[in-house]
Amino acid sequence: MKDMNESFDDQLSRRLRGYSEDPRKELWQNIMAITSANVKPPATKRNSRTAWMFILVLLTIGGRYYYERISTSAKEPVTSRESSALPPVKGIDKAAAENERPAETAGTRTGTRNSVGSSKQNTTDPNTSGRNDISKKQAGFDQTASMHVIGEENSDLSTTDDNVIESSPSSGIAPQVVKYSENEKPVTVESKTTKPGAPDEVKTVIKEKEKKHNKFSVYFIIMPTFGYQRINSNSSDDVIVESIDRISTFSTDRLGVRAELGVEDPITNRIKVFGGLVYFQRKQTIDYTEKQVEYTEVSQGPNGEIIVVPEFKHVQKSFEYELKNLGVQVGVSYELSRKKLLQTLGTGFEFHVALNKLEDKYKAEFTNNPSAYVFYNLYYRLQYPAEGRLKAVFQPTLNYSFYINQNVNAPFYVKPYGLGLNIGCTYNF
Amino acid sequence: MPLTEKQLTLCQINDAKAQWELYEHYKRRIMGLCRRYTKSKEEAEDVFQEIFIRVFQNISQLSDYQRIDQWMMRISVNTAVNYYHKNKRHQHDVEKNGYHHQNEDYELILSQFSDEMLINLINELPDGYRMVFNLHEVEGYNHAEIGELLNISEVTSRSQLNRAKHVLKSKLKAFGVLKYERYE
Repeated sequence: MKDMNESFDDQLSRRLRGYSEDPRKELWQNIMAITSANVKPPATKRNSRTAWMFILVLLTIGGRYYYERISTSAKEPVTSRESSALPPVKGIDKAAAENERPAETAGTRTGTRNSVGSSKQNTTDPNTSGRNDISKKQAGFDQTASMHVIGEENSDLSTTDDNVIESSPSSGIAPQVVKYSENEKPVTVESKTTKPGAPDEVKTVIKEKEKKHNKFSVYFIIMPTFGYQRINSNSSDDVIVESIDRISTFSTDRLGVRAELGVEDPITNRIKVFGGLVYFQRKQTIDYTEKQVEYTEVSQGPNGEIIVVPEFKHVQKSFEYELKNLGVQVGVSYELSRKKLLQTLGTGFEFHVALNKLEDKYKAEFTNNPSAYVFYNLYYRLQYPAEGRLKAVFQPTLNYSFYINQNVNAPFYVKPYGLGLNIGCTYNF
Repeated sequence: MPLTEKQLTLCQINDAKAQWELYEHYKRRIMGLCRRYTKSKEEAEDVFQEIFIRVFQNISQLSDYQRIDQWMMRISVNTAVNYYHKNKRHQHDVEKNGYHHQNEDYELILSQFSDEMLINLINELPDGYRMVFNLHEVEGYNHAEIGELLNISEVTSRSQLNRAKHVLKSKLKAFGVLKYERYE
């Protein structure tokens, strides 16, 4: 009997152990639907998004730098320098100041730089411009020319390479030594004595530059965008959202794209008003834990009351959403400084309308997406370079969403709200 | 075709194709296991999904490729046990006294059962009996381990195993008799 039983057990075990069965095909889809939301995307995808972003920024900066190099070398003649090659502000301002002074004062060096030209560049043509490019000889004895150009080749001077004697021999003032670094570009300073018309040209240059900054223009901005959202659970539905998985603020999982096309109009030198269209897109998966009633235990209390105790289970779920918003914006910006970097502080209002509809798979469960937003934003924008049409942008922005369409039946609201970071480029037409 | 180490590595970085291959490789075995541990096919499918979700979520922790079989089976059994804990039903033990059928040819009866019928027979066992029976007779756990897994004493585990066997035999006999009557 015992032997028979053992044999029975063995046979039973063997057959049960070897039992296999094909699952339904739908199960794989279910598993994938859950795991693809819960597992993080492969590192390669995340890295590629980040890499593309950096490539975009590098291309902008690199392209701009290359363009500047090309245009500068094309504009710089060998024998004479055009006023456009002047260091933009200081030199011109100084020269302009000089031109306001009496001729004799200007001629006695104070504030005036005697420059020594290249030995190859001493073919001064007094009719071509209001500046003299002179040789060592001219530098020493030409009293009328108190404004000169420092050439690239000054090795034939009795000074060291980086020292230039600044003096007019006839002025009676002891020579002064001005130091220039090796990499410093030669400075061209205009002289009232050499060309009376020069100050007007300089003023024109300044005015043109000011005009350039102050004209009405069309702009386009494209910026990969981090952050910008707050997820609140919908308290008016029957779904108990216990927790929502957090994603760090600057995770590439929440990377979106923002593009703006608009016009800006300067109302003063520094203040501009702007307005235009905004397009914003982001796709994200929200992972959350839902609390569901598994069963309820009903019992009777000592006083005859009915006690219902629900037992909960926790179900991990995910909700994919895609924001595709088109909006309008108006705002005002203030230029903080314009050196190598253009720094701007801006603020504005935006009104967005959602373009996309809810995905079919959620339609049975949820009614629709939020369809409208109004929010206020405040940004600090750094642009490089300060001049030119194409600029790289680095822009931390604070968004405050004060209106959102609440007529939804989703487990939560996704608000474009909070601190975000934009990195991209702008183009002024 | 056995799963390769490369496929496992790809699974660990969530490569969808490799995940599919892993699924294809194990799906029949794991579905079979799920059918043994649950009362119905629907429950088996729930457990089956949960197993693969856990597998894909935790496969990055598996460092030794050689142990993937054991690892998969351990996750499967643990998931089935968890499911049992979550869905405990307060069932009355059936046929507590059991039948003692001596001199019955159980081997013969068993051999005439199809796998599907056998699984149905296992499914009809009370949950506790079924768990102990599977863990002990099929997976090879001892009573101490079973007691720890199911939060019962060793004695209870032994007793439930014996009862499970009795119930199975009585059902086999009944089925067998019916079968003999029908076909002979």
